[in-house]
Formats: sequence, C-alpha cells, structure tokens
Amino acid sequence: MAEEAIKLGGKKKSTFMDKVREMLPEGGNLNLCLTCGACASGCPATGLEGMDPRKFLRMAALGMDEEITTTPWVWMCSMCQRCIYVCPMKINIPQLVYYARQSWPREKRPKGILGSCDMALKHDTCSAMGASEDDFQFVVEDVLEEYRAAQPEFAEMEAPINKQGAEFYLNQNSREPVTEPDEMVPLWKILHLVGADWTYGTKGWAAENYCMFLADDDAWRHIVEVKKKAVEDLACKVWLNTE
Amino acid sequence: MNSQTKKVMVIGGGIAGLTAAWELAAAGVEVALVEKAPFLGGHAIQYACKATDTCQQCGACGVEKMLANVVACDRIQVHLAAEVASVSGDGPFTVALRASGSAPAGAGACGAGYDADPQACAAGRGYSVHNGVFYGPDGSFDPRRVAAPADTTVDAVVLATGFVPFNPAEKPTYRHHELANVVTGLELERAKRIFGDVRRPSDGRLPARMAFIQCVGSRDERLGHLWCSQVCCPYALRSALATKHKHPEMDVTVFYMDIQNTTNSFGAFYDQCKSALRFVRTIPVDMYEAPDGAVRTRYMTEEDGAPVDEIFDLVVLSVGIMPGADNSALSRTLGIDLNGDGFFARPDLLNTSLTGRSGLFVAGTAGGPMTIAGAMAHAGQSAAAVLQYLGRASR
Repeated sequence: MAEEAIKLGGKKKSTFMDKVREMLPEGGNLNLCLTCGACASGCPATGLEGMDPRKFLRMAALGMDEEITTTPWVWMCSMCQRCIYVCPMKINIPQLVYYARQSWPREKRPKGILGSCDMALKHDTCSAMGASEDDFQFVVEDVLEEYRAAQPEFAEMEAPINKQGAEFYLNQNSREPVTEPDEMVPLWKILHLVGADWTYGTKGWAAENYCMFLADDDAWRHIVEVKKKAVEDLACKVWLNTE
Repeated sequence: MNSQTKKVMVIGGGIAGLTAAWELAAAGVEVALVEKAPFLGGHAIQYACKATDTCQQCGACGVEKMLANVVACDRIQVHLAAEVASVSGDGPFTVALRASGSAPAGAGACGAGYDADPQACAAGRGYSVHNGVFYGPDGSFDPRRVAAPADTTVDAVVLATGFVPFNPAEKPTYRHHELANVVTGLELERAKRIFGDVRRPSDGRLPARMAFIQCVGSRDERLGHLWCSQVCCPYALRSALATKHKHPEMDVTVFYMDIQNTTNSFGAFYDQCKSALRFVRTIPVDMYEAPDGAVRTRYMTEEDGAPVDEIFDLVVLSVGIMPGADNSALSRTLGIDLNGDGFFARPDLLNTSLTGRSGLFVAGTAGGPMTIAGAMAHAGQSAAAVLQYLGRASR
C-alpha cells in the first residue's frame, strides 16, 4: 500500500460553491448530496427557467459558476426552505440560492423586490409600500371605530398605537392597511378575546422585509434595527412579526 | 463436546436467534431461547414468498424451515413473551427473565374463523403454522411448550434482538398515518402473507398502479441514520417483480436514488426488473388524497426537469432497518457497547459475532442491517464462536 495519498496535479479552481461552503456552519452539507431529487419534488419553483434545486446544486458542484450566478431562477425561489426541510442530508440549498442572488449587481436585481426594499429604507415605518406613520394610524383608528360600531360584541376591542410597556409589539404587513384594511381585524379580535396586552407602533410597524429577499445584507440589517429600536422605545417585552 | 452439558441463552427469536439456537442445539448444547413477542420468527416470519416463475432467493421460506427446526428440537427451551431483567456473573451468567407484557392474542382472535379477521387471526397464530405448537386450544400459551420466565444460569449469551422497522411518522410528508393506501414495506409483506396477494388497505382491492419509494428513513443525515439498510432494494424489487409477474397488467413504479446490490446475480436480476418495472430516479416527498382512495404525488421528471403529478392506488414506503428499541437498556444490562448508530458494537472486524465482552455474542441485525441470508450466515458464525468459547471455557 502507498505510504501517502496520491496527489493530483494542477490547482483546483476555487468555485462559487467552495466560497459558500466556507461561510456556512458544517459547510451547509453542500457536498453531501445523494442526488435523490427530494428537493426538486418538494420545490414550488421546480421546472421554472429549466431549473430545479437538484440541478442548481449539481451545477454548483460542477463549478458552473457562470450559469449559477446568472440564472434568473434564483429570483423565482420563494425562500420557503422546503428543499432543506425535505432533504435527507439537510443540505443548505436556500443559502446557496441566497449567495447566488447576492452575486448579482444590485441594480440588476428584480425591479419589484429592489423597489420595495428601497422604499422601506426611506421611512422609519419600514413600509415597502411607502405608507407613512400618519396614514397607518389613521387607517387603524378608522377601521377600529367602524367595527366597534357595527359589531357590538367587539365594542370594547382596542387596537392601541404606541402604547408604552405593552406585552406584545405587533408588526403589520403594509398590504393590509394600504389595500385590504378589513384583513387586520381578525387578529385584533383574537388578541381582544384572549386579553392580550399589545400595541402597534407608528415607527417600524411594517412587517415585511424585501431587503432580505433582495439579498442586501446591509439594508436587511438596517430594517431589522429600525424595527428593533421601535420595540425597545416602547419597552415592549415580545416582538411579534407576522411575516 | 465434553461430558458436562453446556447451556447458552439466545435472546431474540427472529431469524438470527432461531439459526443460532438451532446450530448450537445441533452441536449438543442446551439452549434457552427468549423472545419478547408471543411468537417465534420475528419480522422475517411475516414476509411473503417473492418467487416469480422461479425462486428469487428472498429467504422468506428459509425462516419457515428454521422455525420448524427449532420447534422440533427438544434441546431448545422456548420462553415467549419474556425479556431479560438482569444479568449477573462473568461466565457462567445468571440471567433473570421477566414477562415482557406482550401476550398471545387468545382464542378470541380467531373465534369467528380466519376470514372474519384475517389480520388478527394471523397474528394470533404467530404468522406460521409452526408457531401453533405454543398455544393451547384456548389460544393461551401451552405450559408444556412455553417455559415461564425464571432465573437461568448459562455459560454464554447470544444477543439476537434484531431491529425495528423505520417509523414513517418521522418523515411526515409521506402521511403514512393519515392515508390508508400509503403503507410500509413490512405492512405490504404482512398483508401479502395474510391475504395471499397485494391489497389496498382502504378497500381490499388489487391496485392498478403501485409505487415503491426507496430509502425511506435510511441514508438520512437529518434523522441521524446515515447507513444503507441493505434490505430495502432487495425486498422492494423482488416484491415488485413478483407482483408484476402475477399481475402483468399492473403498473409498478420504483422511485429511487440508486439501486444497491441484491444478490450474486444482481446484473441479470436488475435487467429483469428494468424490463418489467418503471424506474424513476427521483424521490417524491408529498402525498395528497386523490379520488377513490388513491394517492397523488409530485415529482420531477428525469428527462426535462419538469414537475409532474401522478396518481397511484397504493404507495409502498421502503422503510429500512433501525436499531432495536431496547438496545440502550440492553447495552446497560449486559455491559456491552453500542456503536454510533445505536446498533451493538462489533469491535473485531474479522469476527463480527464478538461483542468485546467475553461470553457475550451478537447475531443478526442487532449488530447492524443485514438480509435474511446474511443474518443466518452471521448467526452461524456466532454459534461457531460460542462453541469455540465453550470449548476454551471448559478447559
């Protein structure tokens, strides 16, 4: 038997997947794939743009960096993490997709996600739809008043805003106050019926964070910090983010 | 053998335990065979023959034959529904037995005749005609054939406690506990043995479209089961081929990631499978209810990477071999180690029947996954090692 392992000549090219492996705990198990395809069977984006999670990981493993970092498929991934959930080898495909997103120049990333992130960065509300502090407060108070009047069993229901020291600080996706205000009410009713001590805040109230989906780490962090400060300023104990 | 008769306890009455007991008895050793369940034969006695027009060498009939050998052997004392409470001594060993809490189904199980409740009746009769000798006319144990649990002094112990089949509840997207027509490989085998053919649990009808999903619970980092169970490809392919042979009109699909070797004639066997069955190299994960008790699943096609939905009348999860539920307790009771996977450690690579503790031996799947034939061969090796040990111990 040979004393030492045989060494192959030539320098191994550092690939995109190698770089991602270095960033992830346990290397994201990226080199454990048995190619069973469970990820692709469970993925809602399988087949879009001729791509699926198994193929994506295979291409990354083969060092096809050009294809991996330019396929628009990464933007069709909903980041639901189903692939890692059903993967018997617990391979972190979602993070591979995330870093592939990050390799895109910011201005080339999909307009909808980019615009939503940039809009959220403009206001302390963090609303991707640009809803202001006053707009939000007005809609909440208006809807509350309407339901208290129309449904006597909820005459005592509250939807507090900026209530100092409340147990729960509740975020709200911008879509509801802006386009479907009635959809805020079922959760208010539940909170009312269980006697929860909760509040909205005029600052940092928007639940969504498109900067995460944009794979813009700095902006993502900024959004989270603005919301965290809002929770702390009201001295709430629990931050409830419904997204 | 020397003049003084030696006695060995075999813990576990599955195929490995039966084989070890019989080999030892054939060499003149007295054997106490201890089985937790109220019947002998373990999992393997519940499997059906997988012959097409020729024998496929699945080994199921070998279990029957070995059970018949053991039942007819007067040097083997059988304890059913019994388990080990404690072990003392360093050879000889004194083993305290106690009731395991399982009991024979009793006369009631078959009171209304076999057809009234075939599953309960088969279980009540111990799945084999050869187990019949253990039960009296009222269905309870016959005390002349089944020894009561008692302290027993033996010169050596063979651990043949077997495995547990993977519990598919640990992979909940398969919805085994919700959908009647999603079954495990063991459930398929048991039903074939009881009814004589493949049946859908929901309505007892023959499925027109049957699917096997391989590697369920094995080769799984998430669950901590990195091993290949070694039996799922052999049993699923043989079962699929035998069913297709019997019902040529049935569509039989095998979802797999790779096919593991099954026999010496694997190449020819696999070619036969490939011409008779449809192989899809993708593992589906989600099962949905479809009309008429059928099951809809989604997977990605190999050719163009497109997702497709397909409906099957019966889905079989090819579950693998997991460490026995009692392994950690037994490991403490017996003072022997488990390996990282939870099977009994076998530190000597050249003789895997040795446990690392003198006088204690392991046989069959207690030490790791193996087929029926593999378990029988391993039990033979174990019996030989016991005889060698007894010869040395007597000097």
